[in-house]
Amino acid sequence: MFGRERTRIPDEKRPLRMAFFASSMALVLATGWALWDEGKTRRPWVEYQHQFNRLEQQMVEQALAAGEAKYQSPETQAKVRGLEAALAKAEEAIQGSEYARLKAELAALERQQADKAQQIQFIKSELDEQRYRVEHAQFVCQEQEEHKARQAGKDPGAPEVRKAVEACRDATVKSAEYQALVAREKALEQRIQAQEPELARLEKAVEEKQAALKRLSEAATKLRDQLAELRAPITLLQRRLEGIRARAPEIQQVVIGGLAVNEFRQPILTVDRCTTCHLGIDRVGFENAPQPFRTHPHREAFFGKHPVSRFGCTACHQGQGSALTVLEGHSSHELGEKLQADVREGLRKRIHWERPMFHGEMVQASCQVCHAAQSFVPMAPVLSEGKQLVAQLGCFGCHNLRGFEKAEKVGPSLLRIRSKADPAWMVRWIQNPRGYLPITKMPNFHLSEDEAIAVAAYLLKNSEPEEPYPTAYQPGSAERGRELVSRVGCLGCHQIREMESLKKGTTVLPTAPTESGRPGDDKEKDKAADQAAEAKPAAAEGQEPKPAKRGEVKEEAPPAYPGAGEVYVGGPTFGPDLSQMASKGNAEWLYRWLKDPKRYRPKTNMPNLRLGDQEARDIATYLMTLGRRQEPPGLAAELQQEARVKAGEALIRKRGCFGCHEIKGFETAEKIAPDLTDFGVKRVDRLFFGEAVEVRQTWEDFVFWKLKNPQIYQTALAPQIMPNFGLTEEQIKAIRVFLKSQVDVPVPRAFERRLTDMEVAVQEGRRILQKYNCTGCHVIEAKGGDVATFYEAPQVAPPPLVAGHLQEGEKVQATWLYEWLARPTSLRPWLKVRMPTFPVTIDEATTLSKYFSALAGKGFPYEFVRVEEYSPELVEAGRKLASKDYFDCFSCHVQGSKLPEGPPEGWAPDLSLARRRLRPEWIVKWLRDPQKIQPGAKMPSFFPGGPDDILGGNEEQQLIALRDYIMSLGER
Amino acid sequence: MKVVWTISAIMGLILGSMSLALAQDTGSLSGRITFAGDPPAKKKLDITKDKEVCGTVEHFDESLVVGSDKGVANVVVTVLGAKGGKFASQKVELDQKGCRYTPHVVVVPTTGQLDILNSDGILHNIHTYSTANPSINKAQPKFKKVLTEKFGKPEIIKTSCDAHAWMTAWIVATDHPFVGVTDEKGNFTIKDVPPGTYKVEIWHETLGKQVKDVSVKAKEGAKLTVELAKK
Ligand SMILES: [Cu+2]
Repeated sequence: MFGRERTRIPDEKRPLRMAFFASSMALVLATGWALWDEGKTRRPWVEYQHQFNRLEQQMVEQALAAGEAKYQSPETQAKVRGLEAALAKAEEAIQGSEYARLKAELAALERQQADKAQQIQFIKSELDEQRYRVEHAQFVCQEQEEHKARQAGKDPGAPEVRKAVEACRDATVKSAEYQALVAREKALEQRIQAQEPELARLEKAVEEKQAALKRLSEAATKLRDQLAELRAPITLLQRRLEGIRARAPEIQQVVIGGLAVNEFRQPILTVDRCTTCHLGIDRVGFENAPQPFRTHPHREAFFGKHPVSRFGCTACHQGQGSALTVLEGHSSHELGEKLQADVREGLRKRIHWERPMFHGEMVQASCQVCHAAQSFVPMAPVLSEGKQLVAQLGCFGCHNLRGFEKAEKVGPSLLRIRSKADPAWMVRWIQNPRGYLPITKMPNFHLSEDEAIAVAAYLLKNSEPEEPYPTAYQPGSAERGRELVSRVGCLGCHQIREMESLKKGTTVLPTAPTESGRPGDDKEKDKAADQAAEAKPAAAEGQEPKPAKRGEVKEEAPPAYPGAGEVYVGGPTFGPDLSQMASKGNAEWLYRWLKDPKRYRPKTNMPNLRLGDQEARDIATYLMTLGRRQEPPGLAAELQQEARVKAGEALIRKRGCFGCHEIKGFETAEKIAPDLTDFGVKRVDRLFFGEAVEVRQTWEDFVFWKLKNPQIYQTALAPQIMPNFGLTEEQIKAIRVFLKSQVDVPVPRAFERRLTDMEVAVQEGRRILQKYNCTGCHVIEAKGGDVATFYEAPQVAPPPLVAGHLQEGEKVQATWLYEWLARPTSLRPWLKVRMPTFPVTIDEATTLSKYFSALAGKGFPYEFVRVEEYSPELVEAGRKLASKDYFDCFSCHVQGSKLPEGPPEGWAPDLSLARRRLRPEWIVKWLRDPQKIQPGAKMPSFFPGGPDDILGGNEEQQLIALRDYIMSLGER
Repeated sequence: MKVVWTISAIMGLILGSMSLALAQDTGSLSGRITFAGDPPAKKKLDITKDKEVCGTVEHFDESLVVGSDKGVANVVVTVLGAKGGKFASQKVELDQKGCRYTPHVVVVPTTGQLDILNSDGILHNIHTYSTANPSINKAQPKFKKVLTEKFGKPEIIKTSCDAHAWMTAWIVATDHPFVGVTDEKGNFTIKDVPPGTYKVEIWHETLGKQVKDVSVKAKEGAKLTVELAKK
C-alpha cells in the first residue's frame, strides 16, 4: 500500500529524459571511440603509410627542386631560350605570307588536279561504252545465228551454226560501222594517254607543295618536342607528386598461389601483407630509408628469380603474412634494435608463435625448402656451410637428418684395427683424438682412461686378422723414404711437420700438440681450462649479455683443443697428419697399406701410388721414424680382460661409435640419438634446458650452446652423451641454420629448384673432387694445388687443371679423361710426383669427365670423330714446321720412345699421346698463345713469328698444319 | 800540306773546346767491386744438350765470377737520382752464341730496344721473369735471327732459356744512363755524371744489393771501391 503511495506517478508516465540523455551521450561517445579506434589503434599501418608517403614526397620534392634548379641553370635556360626563339620563328613562318602563298598555290593546284582527273574519268567512261559496243557487235552475230538455228529446230552447237557465226563476225568486223567504232575506241585511248602526263605533273606539284608546308609545320613541332623534353623530368616528378598526394591508405597484399599446401597436400592460396608497411622493399631509392621502408638489402640478387609477386615474403622470412600489426606480423622475439623497447618486450613473451620470423642468416634455412637438391646454394653461404659440415662430420651417424638418408659412415672401418693400430695409441686416441691429430673430425667423448681401455679392448678383441701381402716388409732406407714422401705426392693430402721446412718461402706450422705424459702437458691443460671457461654463454658474440653463470657448470665445461674447430677436410689436412706415425702404426701394416690400400679397406679414398716394393719399404721405414711408441706397463694385460671387453661393448652401444665406424657386432644397431628431421619447428617448451639458467630460452640459444658444450644441459638424472666436436662459433651457427631447415614442408614441383644435367655434373664433380682431395695437388676452379709449395718449379709439380683460361675439359678428350682416370699412366714419367690410381668407380670417372667438360662449356659426351683424312700437304707442312730447321719441337717434347736430349727436368709431354688425349682445336689455341692459357708455362710462344717459306707464311694455315701433324703422330 | 795541318789543328781546337765545354760541368764515377774472402773456384758446367753447337765453347757457372785479384764481374752500379745525361745508344744487343748469352748483364734504355741475336742457328727461347714489365716467353727458332724486345719500366730482369737450362742473363732496364757494369776485373766507369751527392746502388745477382753515398765534383773523377761478401 505504502509503496504505491510513494510512487504516485505511473511507470509509463515517469520522465526518462535524464536516462535517455545519458544513454544517448554514451552512444555518441562509444561511436566516437569506435571510429577513433578503427582509424588509429586498429590500423597502425595507416600511420606507416602516411609516413612513407611523406618520405617519398620529400624525396620527390627534393628531386623536383634539383630538376627545377637544373632547368633554371643558365646553360639549360640558354638552350630553352634558343629553342623558344627558333620556335617563334617557325610559328611566324606558318603565320606568314610565304606559308599562305604556298597554301593558296596548293589549293589551286589541287583544284586543277581534280579537274584533270575528272576529265580523264569522263573520257574513260566513254571509252568503256565504246568497248562495250565493239564487243557487243561481235556477240550479236552469235545471238542471231543461234536464235535462227533454234527456230529452225537445229542444234545451236552444230558445226554449221558455228560457221555461220564466224561468217557473220567476219562480216561485222569488215563493216565500216564496226571500223568506225574501233577507230573511236583507239582515239579515246590516245586522248587518255595524252592527258595522263599532265595529271602526273599536277599530282607531283601538289605533293611538293604539301611537303613544303609539312616541313614548315614539322620544324615547329620538333622544336616544341625538344622544349617539352627539357621539361620532361620535371613534369614526370610533378605527376608522381600528384600521385602520392592522391594516395589513400590501403592494405597492400600479395596473393601467393601454389607455394603452400594444406594438410591434404593440396595447393592453397596464401596472402602476405608485409608490403602494407614495408612499402619500399621492392623499390630502388630507399636503401637508406628508416625501417620499415628500406629497400631489400639483396633486392637485385634475390628478386630477379624470386619476385615478390610469386614468392611473397614469408616463404623466406616466416612470420604471419596476413597480420597487420608489428607484433603479430613478426611474431618473433628478436626484432631489430630500432623497434621500441615495449614492443620488443611484448614480443619476447610470445615465444610460442607457430612461425616466428627468421632473422639474419637464419633466413637461409628457408632456402633449403626449394633448394634441397643443391649441395651448395650460392646465395645461402651459411646454410651451405652447415650442409657441408654435417656431411663431413657425419652427424647423420647418430641422428636422422633430412637429405642424409643414404649417406655412408664417415669414419674408417674398425673391422681389422688390430693389425693397424698400436693398442696404447688407441687408448690415447679414444680418450682425446686431438691430442694426436690437431685437425680431425673425430669428436671427444670425454671418456675416462678406464672407459677408453674398455672400448679399445672390445675393438681389438673383435678385429679380424688381415691377410698378408704377397711380398713382405723388410727394413728399407729411411732417407730414401723421406725423399720419396717429399716428392711423390704424399704431402698433397698428409702433413708431416718435419717436412714443413722443405716448403719454399713458407713458415713452419704452430708447435705440435704434445701427447699426454709429455712435458708441457700441464700448461696445455691450463690453457684448455681457460678456453673452456670461455665456452660459456656470456662469451658468445652477437648474443645478449646473460645473467651471472653458475660455478658448477664452469667446472664441467669441456676442454678446448689446440686447433679446435678445424674440421675442414681438404688440402694437406685431408688425410691424417703423419707426424707421429710411429706412435700409432707398425711398419708391416704400413707396407701392405701403401702397396694396395683398396685391398685392405675396400671403401678407402687413399689412392694407390703404384709404388715398387722397395719404394714402399723405404717409405714405411721412414714413417716409422716419426714420433715414438709409448707402451704403459700392464696395458696389454688389461686389454685382454673379459670384463673390460664387456664394458667396452656396453660403452660402444651407449655412445654410438658404430654411427661412424664399422664395428663387428653392431651391424644392425639403430641410431642412438634423437631424430632431428623435424627439429626446425621444435617448440621451445619441448627443449630440455636442464639447469642451465644462463642460457636464454629460445630455440637458437638452445642449439648454439648444445653444440658449443654438449654437456651444458646435463643434470644428475639426464646425462647428455653427445660428444664434443670442438666447433668454432662460425661452424655452430652454420649447423644451426641447417638444423632450422629440418622441417617437413612439401614443395610443389613448380617451385622446386631442379638441376640441369650440367649443374648436376658440376655439383657431383665437386663432390668427387672433395672425396679424393684432387685439389690437394691440382689447382681446380682456382682453388688448391698447395702441394706445389714443395716443388722448386711449377713444371715439376702437379699441373693446374682449371684456372683462368686453362680448362682441362677444353684441353683433353672426354673419353680419354674417363679412361685415364680409371687407370692413370704418368704423362711426364720423368717427374718424381706421380698421379696415383684412385679407387674411382665407373660412375665417378664418368662424372668427373663430365664435370670438366661442363666447366669448359663443352657438351658431354664429346666425341672427337674425324671422318676425313688429314690432308697430306698440311701434315707434311706441319712435320717440316716441327723439324729441327724450324720450331724444333722435339728439342723438348718426347715422341713415343724418342726422348729429347738434356736432363728430364727440361722435357715436355709426349706428343704421340696427343692424338688420343687432346682436343684438336685446343692444340691450335695453345700454340697460338701458351702464356695466355697457362701463365708461366715453359712452352714458349712461336706465333706471331712463323716462317715465311712454309705455306706462304700464312700463320693460320701453319697452326692448322701443326695441329694436323701432331694429331697424325702416334699409333692408329 | 800546311793547309791540311792548319785545318786539322783548328778542327782539333774546336773539337777539344767542345768536348771540354761538354765535360766542363760533369764528373765521372769509377771504381772497383771486390769479393770478400777467398774467390770461389771456377765451376765448369756440363753441356747436356745440342753438344755440336753448345759444346764449341767452355761453359762456366756465371752466377758469381771473381777475377784473380778478387774483382767481381757483372756487378751493376747505378747512380740514383742523377739528372740529364744521354744514352750512348738506344739499340743494345744480346747475343746467343755457343748457347751462352753475351753479355751476361746487358743494360737497356727503357726508351730503347734490345735486339736478341741467335748466332747459334738452333732453337732457343727468351723467358724473362719480370714484375714491372710483362713477362716474355718467346721461341727463337733457327730461322729467326733477331728478336726485338722493349722494356718500358726500369727493372733488373732475369732471363733464361728453357731449352738450355744453364743459359742465364740479366737485363737491366733503366730510364737514365748512369749505370755501369763491372768487367771481369771488377772495374766500372760511369761517365758524364752531373756534380752532386748521390746514393749509389750496387747490385749483384748472388751477392745482393748495397747502397753507398758518393760525391761527384765537376771535371773530377770520383772513386768508389766496394767489397761484397756472400750472404
Ligand atoms: Cu737456348
